[in-house]
Amino acid sequence: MSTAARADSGGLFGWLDRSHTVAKPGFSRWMVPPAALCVHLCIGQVYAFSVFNLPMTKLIGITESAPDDWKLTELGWIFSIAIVCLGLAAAFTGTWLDRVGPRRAMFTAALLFGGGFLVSALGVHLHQLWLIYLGYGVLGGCGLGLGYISPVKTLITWFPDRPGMATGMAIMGFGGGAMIASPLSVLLMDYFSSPTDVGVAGTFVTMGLIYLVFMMIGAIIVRVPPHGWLPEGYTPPAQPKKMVTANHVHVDEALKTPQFYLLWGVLCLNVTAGIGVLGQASAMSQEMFPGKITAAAAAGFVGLLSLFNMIGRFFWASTSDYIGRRNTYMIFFALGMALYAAVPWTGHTGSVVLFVLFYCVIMTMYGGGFATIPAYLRDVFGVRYVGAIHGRLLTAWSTAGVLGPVLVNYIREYQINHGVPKADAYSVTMYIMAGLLLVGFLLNWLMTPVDDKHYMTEEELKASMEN
Amino acid sequence: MTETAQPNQISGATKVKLVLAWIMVSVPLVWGVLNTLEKASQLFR
Repeated sequence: MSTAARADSGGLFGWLDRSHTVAKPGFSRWMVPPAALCVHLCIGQVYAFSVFNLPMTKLIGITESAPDDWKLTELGWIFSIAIVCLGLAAAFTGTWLDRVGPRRAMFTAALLFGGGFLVSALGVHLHQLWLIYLGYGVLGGCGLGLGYISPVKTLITWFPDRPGMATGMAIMGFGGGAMIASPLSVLLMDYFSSPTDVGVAGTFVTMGLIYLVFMMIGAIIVRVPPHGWLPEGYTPPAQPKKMVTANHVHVDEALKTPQFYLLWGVLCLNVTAGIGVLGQASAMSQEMFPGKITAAAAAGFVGLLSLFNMIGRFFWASTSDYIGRRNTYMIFFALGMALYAAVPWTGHTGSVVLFVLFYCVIMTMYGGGFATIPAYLRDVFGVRYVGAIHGRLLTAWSTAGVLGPVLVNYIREYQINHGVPKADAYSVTMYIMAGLLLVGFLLNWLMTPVDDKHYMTEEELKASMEN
Repeated sequence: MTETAQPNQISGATKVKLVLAWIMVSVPLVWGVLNTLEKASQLFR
């Protein structure tokens, strides 16, 4: 029995099969981005999870932490476990996703992510932290990884003329998800709170159900194009651009190419620089501009960065369709270097406006890095296994998620312990970040097309389609 | 075989679904953006 037959299970869940998701005549490809956004707007919640941390330190004491209440350090692990599971799930489920199609993958992601919230609600109710590690951390994290990569290949196939814009739209949703989740969580906790309850369990149940339904809608409306489909008026270029292949590289073969590791480094360094300062943005703005930026204004600054992170995902990924992926990353690294190096200068001049402006531009490139990478992979390795290869590459994100904050925090502590004033403690960090971007620039500069020997033959491609 | 999308073949029902799908994802996103902008305005007060 072929793997395709095994993937098409029929029965109660037959509607999830790839064969049931092939678009019928009259279907508009513009239905696919909202389907992808249904998933990404939900899983983007992960960036807003910290809103639950403080209330969860008062589950017993309610107004203040009781001795048996959980500590912030213990709660910090929930996010970390989720991010690690995100990377692992994206890396290990890519090939399965490629076989079963986007609907089954999105359905599974919805069950895992929504279910993770419900298990966590039980953990809060029973005051069992391990249930939250398991629920939001492991189950939710796996749902995150699977949900993140599930619509990517489908979007690229529907939009061969604008792959950057298409994936940028979905990945923009991941950036926007936190902007919805943060105020929604606060509203729900207010609603469910009482003199004996901080309202976290009720909020988890409600959000879990909302996300489950929303992601299921995405799974229902997603479609894959019929084999060989092309948009009206689009003819694949007879002479492909130098960095855009018309061939396909198998996911296992991609791991044997230097291009995969160059792109891994490119993504890792771009994310390390961005994520490092994003986590410290609030404290950094207040310490660099004491008396000028208050705690409330700093919260506004963080919100503004999220907004530009989201805008950058769509803007840069769409722009890359015109200027090329390699050039787009060249801009990220060159402009990023200049801006990171200039941030300490804004502190010395006391210019809040320039500080905010520089960071907003930096954040567009941080988001743009995530959103442009699927189209970059498609250009280099072809469409056939782009979803699976993207999944493997996301381990760079998990690595950067640890590296970035550790670098920023460690360097800041070291500076302060050696007598550097708080206002200047970030200068060295910024120069180091600029140095990381220089390395990223060089890695991206080294990018060349994949050697012909790695491309799949016609027979291999045909066999992979049948499977 | 190469099939091509024919926009003029998109039925009225598909157009309605299309509008509803985009509204469904846009409304929460716009709400989130407005909330963020309101919070961000603190920075320039």
